[in-house]
Amino acid sequence: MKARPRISLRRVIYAGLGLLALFFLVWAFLPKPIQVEVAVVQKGAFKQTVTEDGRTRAKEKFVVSAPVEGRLLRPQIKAGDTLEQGALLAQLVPVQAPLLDPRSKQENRERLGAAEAEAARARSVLDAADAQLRNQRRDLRRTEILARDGFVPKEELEDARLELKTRERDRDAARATLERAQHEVGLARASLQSGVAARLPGVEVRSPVGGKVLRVAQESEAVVPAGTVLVELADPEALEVVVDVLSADAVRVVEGAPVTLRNWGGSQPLQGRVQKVEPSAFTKISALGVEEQRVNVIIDITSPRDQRKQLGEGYRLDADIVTFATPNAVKVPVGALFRDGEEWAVFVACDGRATLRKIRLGARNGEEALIAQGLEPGEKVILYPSETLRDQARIKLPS
Amino acid sequence: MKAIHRMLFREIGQMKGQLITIALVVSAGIASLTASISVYRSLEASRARFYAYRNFADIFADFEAAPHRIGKIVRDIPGVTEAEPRLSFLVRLDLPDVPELGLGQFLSVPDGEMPRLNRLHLRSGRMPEAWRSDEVLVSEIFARANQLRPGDEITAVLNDKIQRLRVTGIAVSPEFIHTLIAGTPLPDDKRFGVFWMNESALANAFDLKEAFNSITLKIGPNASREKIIEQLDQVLDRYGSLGAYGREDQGSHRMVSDEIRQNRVTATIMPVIFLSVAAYLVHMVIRRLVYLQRPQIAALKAMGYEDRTVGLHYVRMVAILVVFGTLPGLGIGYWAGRWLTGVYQRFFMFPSLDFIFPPGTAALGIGASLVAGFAGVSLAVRSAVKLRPAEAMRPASPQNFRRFGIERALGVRNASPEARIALRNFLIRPFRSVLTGLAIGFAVAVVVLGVFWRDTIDYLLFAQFERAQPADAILNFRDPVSRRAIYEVAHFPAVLSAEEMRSVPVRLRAGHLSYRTQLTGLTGTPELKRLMTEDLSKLGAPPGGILLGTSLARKLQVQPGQSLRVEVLEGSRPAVELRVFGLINEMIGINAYVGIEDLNRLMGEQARVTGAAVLLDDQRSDRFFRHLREVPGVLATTARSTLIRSFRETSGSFILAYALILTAFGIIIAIGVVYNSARIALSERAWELASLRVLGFTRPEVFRILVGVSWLELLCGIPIGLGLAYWLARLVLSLIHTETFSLPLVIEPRSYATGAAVVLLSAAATGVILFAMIKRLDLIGVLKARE
Repeated sequence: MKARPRISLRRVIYAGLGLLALFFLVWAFLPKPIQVEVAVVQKGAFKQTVTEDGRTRAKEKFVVSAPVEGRLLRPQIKAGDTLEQGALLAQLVPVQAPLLDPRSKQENRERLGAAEAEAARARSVLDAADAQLRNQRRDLRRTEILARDGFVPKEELEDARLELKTRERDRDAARATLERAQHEVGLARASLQSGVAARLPGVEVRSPVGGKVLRVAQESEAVVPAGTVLVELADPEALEVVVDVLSADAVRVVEGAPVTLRNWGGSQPLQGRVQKVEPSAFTKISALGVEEQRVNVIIDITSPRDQRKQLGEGYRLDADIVTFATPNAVKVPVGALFRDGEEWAVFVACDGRATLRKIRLGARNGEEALIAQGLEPGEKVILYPSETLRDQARIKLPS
Repeated sequence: MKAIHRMLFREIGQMKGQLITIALVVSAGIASLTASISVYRSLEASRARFYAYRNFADIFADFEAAPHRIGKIVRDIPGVTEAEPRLSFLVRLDLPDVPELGLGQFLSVPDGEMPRLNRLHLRSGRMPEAWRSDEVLVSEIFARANQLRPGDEITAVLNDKIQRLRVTGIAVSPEFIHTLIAGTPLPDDKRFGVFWMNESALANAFDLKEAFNSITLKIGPNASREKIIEQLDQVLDRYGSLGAYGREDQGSHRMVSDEIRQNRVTATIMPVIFLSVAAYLVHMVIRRLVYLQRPQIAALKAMGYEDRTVGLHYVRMVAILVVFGTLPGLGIGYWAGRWLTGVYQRFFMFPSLDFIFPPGTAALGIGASLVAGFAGVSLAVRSAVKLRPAEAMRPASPQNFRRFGIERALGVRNASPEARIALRNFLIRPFRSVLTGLAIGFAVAVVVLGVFWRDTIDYLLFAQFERAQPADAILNFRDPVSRRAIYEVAHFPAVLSAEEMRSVPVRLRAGHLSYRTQLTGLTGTPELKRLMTEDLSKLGAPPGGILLGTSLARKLQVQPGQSLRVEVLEGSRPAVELRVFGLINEMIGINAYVGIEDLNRLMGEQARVTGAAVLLDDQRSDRFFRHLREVPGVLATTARSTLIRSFRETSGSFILAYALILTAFGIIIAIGVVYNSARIALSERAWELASLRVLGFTRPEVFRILVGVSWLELLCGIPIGLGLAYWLARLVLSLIHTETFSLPLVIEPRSYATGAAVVLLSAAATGVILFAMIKRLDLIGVLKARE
């Protein structure tokens, strides 16, 4: 009888132990809370951007080209030189005669011979004309004396005068022929000359502005046709950025929009502002081989110059062009978003459970989404929700 | 002699319950032994035959492009008996019924002919005609997944040109017994296929004239593989070689080898467990029998039976038991082996995967169970034989029941008499009790071993895909392109965000050890393809350093802080020393990671990417994948959900099979142990129990005494089993550890609980049978026996 209460106590203990074991078994089979990652809903600045890579270029670039065809003497300037206005950029001198191949050379030599022979013949003709002229003069003088004395008729005298004039003209013609023949010889001789430098004064090309030499297109002596680019000059500090964006993005870019310029090599991103969106698009094949319509957006760099001393012309960088910005946005990482039917939703982590919440999305960029409605700052949302996660499922946050 | 035979049959009749339960345990052991052996022997034999018959190459090498004369130089390397140059390209496929891009590995065959090495087995159809440039052979597993038949057409993008190709035949190749997506350790039958095409057609399509970019070698029986690989590397180095490798590093060969090895492990561990439990049960039962039969043994001996004959009586009994256990075991083993081989047929493409049940296996099975049986019986029989007739005639002196010290410690001094009787019965033979507990423990452990795979795979998928790769898809570009491509991808439909990646093939060297793998460059703080340590915390891609997977670090024997040499096998092939900054826990594949800026600097290039990780709006992901078909620069996609699904499908059938088989085995052990232990207790205590009944104890009270011992054995056995399960699971995982998968040891409470619950339920079922026996206890008969 004494033992009775003890037994019942023991029974209670045993029953308790049994229940505990049963509880353990049931607990072990219950679905475990799903381990999730969470992010806190933030209130802060939100930016929607168009991101593309771009290049810097000088705002005012002067491309100096050859005004005439000529031989460019080796320029004395180098890329990077700072020049005053009017500094000598390049000197052009006349072009040398081309070299002759053996056949042309022989031809020309033969032509010279022929010309020389022709000259000799002309000289002979001239000599003959001269002799005839002298003879005629003598005749005329004789005829004049005779005519003065009246021994010959007047007509004869006139004939003789005419004859003399004719002889004079003949001699002039012969002299001209000789002259021509001599020029022919000179011509033939000149065409035999080739590759012989002729130091003659040329044209000097001078810098239209003061600035830095960006590029010397022709670094060595060369014969250049008129219009050849010789030197590019610019004010290197007056840089702008040109970025080609998709035409669908370009419509969202407004002039004056702030731009962040990253990955230019410096430690700090630079700031800029959209100066202009070009009015016409062009077709370009993308990196992945798709045809796209792209529009150039011109950006002014607004960061102080001493922050970007090293930045040169034609440098590559990435530009984030802000298309939408608000300072006080409720935002979550995009990894928390998913679609429930047609609407966007997130799982809110609350009291150890995941609650499905439909939200209205304002805008999103590659990292964050702006919540128009449905979430309060400070609430926790589940990142990258797995397919097993359901509404009201129990969850475990990382410790 | 006749008397003793009759005795044998009568005893067997009396002990049929016990013998059947033991025979079942033996059956389970033999079944697991023979099934595993026959599976791996079948795989081995089918593979060996396939390799020999189809001239599987010994050494493989891929490179950028080399002129044809190099083939001759390679052939002249001493030890090389045959070398076959070929073309190999990864090609995009447009599949009509999956949204994602397909990927094809295109290999060349001599125009219209079989290659000399890695000859194909045509399952149906014919080789492409020598003069046709639009005919291909398709690997069987891809053809099956996409329901392709000879005569069907498939669309492929060969070097930017969309081409309709006609399937002329379905082939299996010794190179692709198991098809893994090129460059990954994962299969995807529907989206990745292997194709064989005429060499001239493939060369034309890729504008590669008089050149080749892959070579396979067969070497002489005495040639040194390492030496030839070294020489081959030297020859191919300036042709952009990705490093030659032997069979052991060939994807398909390695997968099949791993599978064979895993079956070997199963063929060892499981039978050892079952047969040792069976040996213990045999020992316990026969020993008890000998104890009960002391008078009979004495009588037999007194009548002139020799020790040997008496001993042989028990041995014969065990022999019969073993035969009864082994025969069904062999049958089940044969059936299970056949079934498992059939399961493998879904994953491994042999011309024929013939099931082999080598006679040796049966002999081994019978031998193993006989060894177990005789090991169990020998001790017991010795005690029977040792008995002297006069001594044996007397009943054995009762055991010295007393108050045990432990009772006080447990605080059961004032417990009910039933509890005390049960406890003392348990404690009086501590050795037997502990062994029984251990046997129950094995039952628990076997069930846990069957069901814990689910936890391991779940954890692997969780850690690898949910944590380490939140990206919904990974894109691979055809060539390294400008980072502009990432902004382009970010504009694709349904993309929420995109992150850049760049991979280059490298050889990592640390001292004399080296390993070929992919070096992947990621952004400083990657969010979509993350680098995780073992405790799932994130690591950033370190500037100026390299991160290795733990198994790669183990392979190269490097610790964080040490440096290793990275030789890039692409482009200008730069090499650099990098310090190991940390280890990451990668369970699938073997990879190394650096910052993408560092990688581009090393390659001497600016802002290049070869791939992107993208986060998608899941509901619209189809639009994304459809859009990719219009983008020629994208070579391949891997969608995470597809990968997980295919992983689950592949592992799922094996996991289920394991869980069912091992749970059944666990039940068999549990019933065998609990039933036999209780039966022995019943026979030992029959007289006392009957006396107690006569003294007025009720049936349930008597039952409680009997079952109390079993309770204590379970109480002691289950914790042992849980510990044992952990230890065995660890052992199994370390034994089946493969190069490409390091499965984490994760056992959730539900698996432990399943083990415990299965054993408890089996014990409860046994208890019902025992209660029926108590009910039938013939009071008068039992009590009279002592007179």
